Amino acid sequence: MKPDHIDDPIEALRAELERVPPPAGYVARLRQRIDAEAEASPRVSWWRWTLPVVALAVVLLAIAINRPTPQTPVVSTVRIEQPPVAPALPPTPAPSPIAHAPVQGPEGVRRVAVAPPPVIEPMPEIITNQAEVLRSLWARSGRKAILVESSDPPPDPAAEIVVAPIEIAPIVIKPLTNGGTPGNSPIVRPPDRNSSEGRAK
Amino acid sequence: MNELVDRLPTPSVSVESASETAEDLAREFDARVLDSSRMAFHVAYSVLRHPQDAEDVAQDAFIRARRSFHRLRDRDRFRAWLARMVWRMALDLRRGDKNRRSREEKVAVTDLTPSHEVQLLEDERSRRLWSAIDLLPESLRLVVVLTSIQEHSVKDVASLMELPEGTVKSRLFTARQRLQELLR
Repeated sequence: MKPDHIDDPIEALRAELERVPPPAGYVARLRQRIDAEAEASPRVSWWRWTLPVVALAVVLLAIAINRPTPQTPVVSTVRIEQPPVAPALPPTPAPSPIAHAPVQGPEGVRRVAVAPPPVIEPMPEIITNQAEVLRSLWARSGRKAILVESSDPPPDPAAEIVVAPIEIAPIVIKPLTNGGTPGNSPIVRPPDRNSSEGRAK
Repeated sequence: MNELVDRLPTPSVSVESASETAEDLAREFDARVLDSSRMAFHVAYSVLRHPQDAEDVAQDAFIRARRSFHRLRDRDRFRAWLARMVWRMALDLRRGDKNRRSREEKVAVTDLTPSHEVQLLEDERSRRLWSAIDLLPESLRLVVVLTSIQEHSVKDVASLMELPEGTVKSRLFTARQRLQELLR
């Protein structure tokens, strides 16, 4: 057996490492260095964190400045006019135009998102005097014509129409062969013997 | 004193409430330092094979861990977190330090003094062992190192590497076989 023979390499390595202990004062130096590092670390961390924070703030500021300002949301508004709801009364015989002038609702601007009003189904009722409204429209249009009320029936314009007799020129039939223009008469030719039909026969 | 401190049992510190102060955090981290400092040194040493470099890496890892300790949710995983951090940092240092190999060779030559025959034999064994370990893949190497440190059990190593125990056993078996072949 050789003097340097190694039976179990693991055990040999274990003995080898036991033969080499850490240098004297190793742990003390280690703790001393760790303490020195811990004392110095706050200053280092201050420098480490300041620059990224400042850079981040600058970037965020640049983004905030360059970002397009969002448009203010358009709040759609509607002018709500009070619908002319008439109470369910018996129809009046001749309502005056003043009484049926368009009712101006309460002026005000309200948001759309309003709870729907309760459904009120009004009773059908005549709310306009059409004849009177037409008259007032006519009056406002400049009175270009005069409206005359008359009980006589208007004259029938068809009665004044005079129907004149219609004169029709006589039709003249010209013969095709005699006396016609040269271009209008048909040309009749005898069958050609040299044509394809003649050769087939 | 250091030996006693390093062999303190693992404190079962649970996750503190959100209202814990900086002093509480520092006190808890101090307890973690006492618990894990020896392991961190040995993990770094298993990669670097130089006590001073191993101490430097372990200190750097603890400083880094201190900065992020307040963000660690499950602080009972601190040892696993620290072990992986030390391992990575030591590997990075070894890759980056091109003069290391020549310095190690110089140290080895210096140690080869004929007056200490036993020391010579131990050095030779150590050199062969580390050479064989260096030939292992990284996944097997970390299992071997963690198993050899502070008599970690398979369960401890599984917890440190956040692997199933079966995986750790399998890797340990494979690593042992390969090392025996390499050391034959």
